[in-house]
Formats: sequence, structure tokens, C-alpha cells
Amino acid sequence: MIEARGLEVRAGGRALLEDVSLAVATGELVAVVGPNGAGKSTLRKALCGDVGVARGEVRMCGRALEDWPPVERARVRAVMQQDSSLTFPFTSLEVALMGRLPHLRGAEGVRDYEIARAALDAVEARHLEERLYPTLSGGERQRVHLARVLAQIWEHSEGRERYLLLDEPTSNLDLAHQHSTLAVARRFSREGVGVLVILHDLNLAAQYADRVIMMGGGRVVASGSPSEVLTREAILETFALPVIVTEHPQLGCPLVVPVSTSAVK
Amino acid sequence: MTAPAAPRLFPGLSLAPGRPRARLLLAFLCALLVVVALLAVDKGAVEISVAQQFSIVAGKLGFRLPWHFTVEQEATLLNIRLPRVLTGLLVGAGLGASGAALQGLFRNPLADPGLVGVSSGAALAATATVVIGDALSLSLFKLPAIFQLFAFPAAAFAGALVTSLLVHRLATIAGQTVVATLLLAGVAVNALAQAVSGFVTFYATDAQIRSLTFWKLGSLGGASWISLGVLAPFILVPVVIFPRLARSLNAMLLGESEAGHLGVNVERVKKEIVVLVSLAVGASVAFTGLIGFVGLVVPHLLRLLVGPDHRKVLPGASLLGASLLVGADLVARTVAAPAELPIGVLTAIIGAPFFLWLLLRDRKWRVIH
Amino acid sequence: MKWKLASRSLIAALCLLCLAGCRPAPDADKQRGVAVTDAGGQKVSVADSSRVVSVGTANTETVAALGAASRLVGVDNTSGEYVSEAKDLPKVGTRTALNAEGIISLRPTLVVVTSDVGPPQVIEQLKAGGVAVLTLPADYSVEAVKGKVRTIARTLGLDAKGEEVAASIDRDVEEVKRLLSRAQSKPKVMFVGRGPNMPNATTSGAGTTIDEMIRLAGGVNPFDDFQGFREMTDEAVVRAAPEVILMTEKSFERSGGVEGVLKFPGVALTPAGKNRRVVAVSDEYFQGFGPGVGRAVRGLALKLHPEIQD
Repeated sequence: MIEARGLEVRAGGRALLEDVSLAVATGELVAVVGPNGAGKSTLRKALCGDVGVARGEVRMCGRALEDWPPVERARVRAVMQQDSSLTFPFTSLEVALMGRLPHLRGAEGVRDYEIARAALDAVEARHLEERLYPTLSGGERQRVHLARVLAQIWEHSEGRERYLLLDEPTSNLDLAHQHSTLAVARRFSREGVGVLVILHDLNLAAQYADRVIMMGGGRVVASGSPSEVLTREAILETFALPVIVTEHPQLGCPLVVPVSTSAVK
Repeated sequence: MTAPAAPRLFPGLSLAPGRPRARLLLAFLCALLVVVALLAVDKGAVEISVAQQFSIVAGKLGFRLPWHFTVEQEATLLNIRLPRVLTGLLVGAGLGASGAALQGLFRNPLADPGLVGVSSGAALAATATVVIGDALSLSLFKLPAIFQLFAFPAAAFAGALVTSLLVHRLATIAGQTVVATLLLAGVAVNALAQAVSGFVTFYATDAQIRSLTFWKLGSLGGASWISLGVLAPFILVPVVIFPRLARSLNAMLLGESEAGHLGVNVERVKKEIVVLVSLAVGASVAFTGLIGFVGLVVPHLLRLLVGPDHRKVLPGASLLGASLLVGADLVARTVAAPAELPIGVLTAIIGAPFFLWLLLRDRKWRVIH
Repeated sequence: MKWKLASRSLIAALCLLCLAGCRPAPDADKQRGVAVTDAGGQKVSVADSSRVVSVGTANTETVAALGAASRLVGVDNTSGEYVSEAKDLPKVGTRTALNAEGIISLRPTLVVVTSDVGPPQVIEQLKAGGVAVLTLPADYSVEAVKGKVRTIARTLGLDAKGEEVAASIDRDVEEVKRLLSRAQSKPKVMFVGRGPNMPNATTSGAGTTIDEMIRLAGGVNPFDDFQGFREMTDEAVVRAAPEVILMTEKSFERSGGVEGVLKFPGVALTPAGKNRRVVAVSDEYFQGFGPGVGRAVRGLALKLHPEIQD
């Protein structure tokens, strides 16, 4: 379980996060949604320890985040950030292999290669294996990073829990890949990994998440199942966007449909 | 199948991909090193046949071989050429590996101790030590010999360290290296070092200036067994430790926070790199002056041949750097014999066109941003 | 794995070689022959002075003046430029960037240098190679020149000739003194130098050959408050108010003649500038004090005081 209690993050006199508490358990996929500036990325950074918190604490598997030695922590938790600045000509396979770093004793072994390739398969990037990273498109790069991150927690490490934090993993992807990415994330969560995904698209959250956390103005505005959180009122209040929330014809989860502003008073 | 893989090498030249190739290349580089070193020891302004060389070395170890040699030949081989070649090997290895490490640290293929200003900082510190020390009547030449020997490389190390930290601080914004700022920081530091150096030499006596200008040109001519003995640990320690940081450096190429998420202790790795680079570059500058471009060219050539994995690039850069510098020095001291060309000129002749070619090539692959 | 093995064997080889090299070099001074004291106060024994490498224009000129130019087997670049006997000899580099092995390859028995050669280790390397090295001080005065002439002469076994040359220097200096007794002025002389790679003009302060020469030639250097060479500034030049501007012929041409010189900082406002009094002398005059110093001073004195001509 990754838990955050009463997190407060400040920068330049402003509060980026205020009194944020949440928990991600193994085996569930939690989606964090919210408009720009709601503090989603800040929340991810706070959960990872990348940004200092003025108040509150984060615990992972019952231990405070600061008490985790970096390598041990990396065996248990993988993080995918929004942007990546790799400019050196590694192959996609080499990038995916980097995910195995925390598990290596000496050079990479056969199993590590297998996992890296399987991870590339899972994100439908296997055919890019020998391609040089700088020559890939934005969407292809994103998938390769996802493969790396999956490779990092592909297997249980000493029978421990595993967590996956994804910060807008679909921003550059086409529709088909958006769905396949989240399908992979859900598959992992079904295998026992605790997954937290930050998403822009409310429908993706509705379809794939077990729980949704809606943020606004640095606070948690709502938390619960997709149908509990994704209501017309909540979305109008937080996103300032009028919508109709109906039921997905096939999947039964909420389906959020924006309406034109001129039609609403 | 999508578009074919972009070639790492010159188009048209392909080698079997994967790890056997890297091992082969490293073995080749070792062999190259040995060949170049032997050639450098063999050739020179003074004629010494191979048989005589064996005789001389055997003589020192206590054996007599039948080939005669003169006192001049013995002194040339043992006191001039051997220390010179060994110094060239060390400095070349140090500069090559430091270039590779700096490029990993700054996440940019253009980082080179000279361009980034680290070498100038080292030279400036050593210069200041002489002049200020004299001004304060703390003439180094009155200290016991052992302190004298270590004073210059220690001062140069401190100068290199301060400069590296300064440039890193200037060029890193929110954990990312901004290339333009990096190069500008290097330009600024170089200009500052020049200015302060000019100011210092303004007040220096003629005698001091003469011993200082020698640095600006770069030369292996002052090599002796004693200077080699002092230089060796400053270079060997970094060269041996760098490959251990290779995996962390690879991860850091993804970005500092990404590397942190992979379990790398980023702050500690950064500090280690800065200290090790400063040791190697500082000592090199203290003993052989400013020699540029080795740290830029060598890692690049390696990356073209084996890819950007630091586990291959770092040891390879040491080997190739050593070969390159010793080879260049061999040319420098034989081509215009009995005079010698400044080695900095030769490395620039190789390095500057290479640098231009890099920039041209990058317009296609956009590897340097 | 491979890397560890390679590095370990490299370190081992290095240690072995260090051990091999760590014995003292052959003792060159044990040879019999001429004993002289060099610039460092050390005694130098020169058994054989038949093959000489000379570094430093003044030293080369001295060797030539002693009639021993045929013994020269190599000189530094500047000597080759200014000393006609040395023009076609092998060049061993510049005074500040010598190459010990290169010098040794010319098989000299004696190397004559000034104490300011570089890199400093070259002298030790040459001695270790069994070559006698005579290090002369880098002093500028007539007495120092005579001392160097005598030392070099002694080393070459040409003591008598050395005395001759020293005497001729004395004669030249006496001649200059005689001429200067008629001088009606002691002009303030400002030296202006403009090298090929320098954007700005420099002038000489105290402690240089030029300063000494100006004094010997019956002039006064108004810039005596600093050592060495400095760039000219308007104020300093105007305050110094020199009456004569002194340049080498090459600098003069490079600066564009009198018109060009008048454009240098402050010059136009000086007595020298107003009277357009610029004296250009041969470059050789300032190449370190050699045996020709007497003649150079005489030439300069005549140019500064045309009235003293016989």
C-alpha cells in the first residue's frame, strides 16, 4: 500500500497541494484526474519523493518513503514521467533493458533480455527493438519508456508488493495505443501490482480504473468508484465543463460526453 | 517491419550487432594501445634499434645482452622517451575517460573538459599558485621536494573542481542540462580564466611568466619518472573507478529523476564524477599543459562504433585516448625533428574538423540538441 | 572482466618499468676537461666542445664571434634568424619549447643555454644523456656580456680569443662614452614595440635589454616604474613626454611609418610626436646582449645624438 496523509506542497508562497490524502493498494488501478494546475503532477512527484513536502508524509509498505534505500525502492516501485530527455542513440531494447537496473547483479542476464522484450511486446513496440531512440516519434518513445517501466516491476522481487506510477502515459499516443496502454496497466493491476495513473481523458479513467481521484485547486475533490466520482455536477464544478454522463453501451461504466456551451444556460 | 534501423556507423559499413562486437573492439583497442606504445618507444629523433632497446632495458634489470648501445641512447630511451610515452598514455587515458564521463554527466555529447572550461580553471589555479605563492614569499621551491611535486596537481585539481561545479550549476536548470547554457558557461569560464590569468601574469616577473607560458601550449616534453610517479595515481584512480559508474551514468542519461527512480543515488554519482574528472584533468594540465579535443573526439568515436553504453564507452575511451595522444605525440616529435610541434596543435588539427563533421552529421540525425 | 585484467596488467607493467628506470643516470661530470661555473653556481666539466648546440641569439653570436661557428651543429629558431652563420643549421625549436631528444639526436658534446629555457626539465634530460650543458644567466649589462663571452670562450678552449672579444667590447663601449661626451642632450627615449600578432603597441619599462641599451646610448627611459613590457596608454605616454621614439625597423614598417606611429596612444601630444622624431634601428640590436652590444650601442647613440658624429 502506498499511502499519503495530509500532504502539503508549497512553492513560491502558493500551495500546490493542500491536505491531500490517498492510498493505492496492490491489485487496484487508481486514476487521478483533474484540470491543468490541479496538482496532479505535483502529487505524483510528492508520492515519489521528487519534491519536498511542507507537511504530511508518504508511506510505502508501511515504511516512510525516506527510509527506503534507493535500490530497494526501485525494485518495488516503477515511475514513468511525462517527459524524457534522452538524446543518446540507444536502441529501444537498450532503453527497455535499463528498467532492469535495480535487479541486476553484474551484467544483464538472459532473463533480463527476455523481460525487456516481453515488455516491448506488451506495449506493441517490439518491432522497434533495434531502432535508435532519437529517431522514434513521440508516441513510440512514450511506449518504449512504458516498456522500461514495466520491465522494472515485471516480476515480484523477493515476493514483495509492486507499484506502478504513470504520469500521463497516453499524452502522445493515438487512440488505439491509448487503450492498449491502459489495458496493459490494468492487466498488471490484476496480477497484483498497485497502479496509479494520471490521466486527462475522463473516459479512459472511467473504463479502466477501479477507483478515481478527482483533484482541483491542489485538493482532493472526490474519491471513489468511477460512477461515484464522475458525475455531471462534479465535472462541471471542477473542470468548468458542462457534460452529459451516460452509461457506456457495452462496458457499463460511465461515459462522459461534453456538450456545447451554447446549449447550456 | 518499419523503416530500417538508422546506422550508428558510416552508412554502408556494418558490423554484427550485439555484445561480441563490443568485446572484439575493446580487445582491438588494447592491441592498438600496445602497438602504438611500442612504436612510440621505438621511434624518435635519436636512432635506437630494437635490439639496442632490448639491451638497454635488460641492462637495467641486470642482464647483459650482446648489442651495444651508447650512453646517449640509454639516457634517451630510459629517461626521455619511456617517461614521455607513459605520461602520454596516462594523460590520454585520463582525458578520454574524463570526456566520456563529462558527456554522461551533462547528458550531452559536446561536453569536453576544454570546451566546458574545466581545463582553463585548472591551468588558472596552477598559474595563480606560482605567482601568488611567490608574491607572498611562500616560494614553492623552498618546500621539501615532495610537497613541491604535489602542489601543482593539487592546485590544478582544486581549480578544475571549482570550475566543474560552477559550470554544472550554471548549465543545469530544473535537473536538465541546457546545452546552449552549457557551452556559454564554458565560453564564459574560459574567458574569465584568460582574463584572470592575464591579470596575474601582468604582475608576474619575467622568470615566472616563462615557466607559465609553457603550459598554454601543452607538451609532454617535461616528463620524467618522478613526475610520472606523481601523475599516475591522479589518473589511474579515476580511470579505474569510472567504469564502475557506467551503469549509473547510463540511467542518468534518461534524466536525473528517472535515474533516481531506477535506484541510482544521483547526487552521489554526480559528485563522484566531478571529483574524478577534476583529478584527472587537473593533474594532466599541471604536468602537460592544455591539450584539447581529446575528451571530445575519443568518446564520440567510441559511441559511433559501440553505441552510447558507458560500460563500453568508458574503458574504450581510456584505451583510445591513450593511443591517440601517444600517436599524436610521436608525430609531434618526429615530423619536425630536431624541433617538436606543440601537441595541442596536432590534437586541434584532428579534433576541430571532427567537431565540425559532428555538427554537420547531427543535422541529419539530431542527436545533439 | 576483460577490463579489470587489462587495467591490472597495465598497472603491473607500469610498476615494472618504473623500477627499471629508477637508477641514477650516468655521471657526466666525472669526465676530465674544462671546468666552469654556470648560472646556477654549479661546476660544469666540459671534456669535449667539438659539437655545440647553442640556444639563445646572444650565445650563438658569441660562438660565432669567437670564430667557432664551425663547431655548431644546431641552434634555436631565433638564432637561425639573426645570426648569419647559423642560418642553415638544424633548428631545435624555440628557446621556450625545446626538445631534449631532438637536441641529443644531433650528437652534441656541449649545449649552451640561458637559464630561462623551457621546459625546465630539458636541462636535466640533456645532462642525463651525457651531454655537457652550460647554463648562462639571463642578465643584461655590459659586464654580464663580457662574463658570458669569457665563460663560453673558456669552455670552448678559446680563452685568448675570448679576451680579444671582451676587449673589443670594451673598446666599443669606450668609443661610445667618448662620443657621448660631446652629446648635448640626454633625451627621453620611449621604445615602442609592435609585434606581428599584437593588436596594441607596447613600451618597455625597467629591466629589459632595451632599457639598458637606451641608458648606455646616452638616453633616459621615462618608464622606470614597472618591469618588463606594458601596453601604451594615452595618459602614461603624455606624462612621460618622450623626445624620441625608438622602434625596430620591422615594427616601424608594420606600424605604417611615421604617420602610423603618430596614431599610437598619446604620441601626437609628445615632444617626439610633435617633432616627428622617430628612430628605427635594426632588429638585431635588441636580440639579447651579445658580443655585438658595443656596436649596437654605438649605432643607437649616433641615431639619438646625431651631433656627436665624428
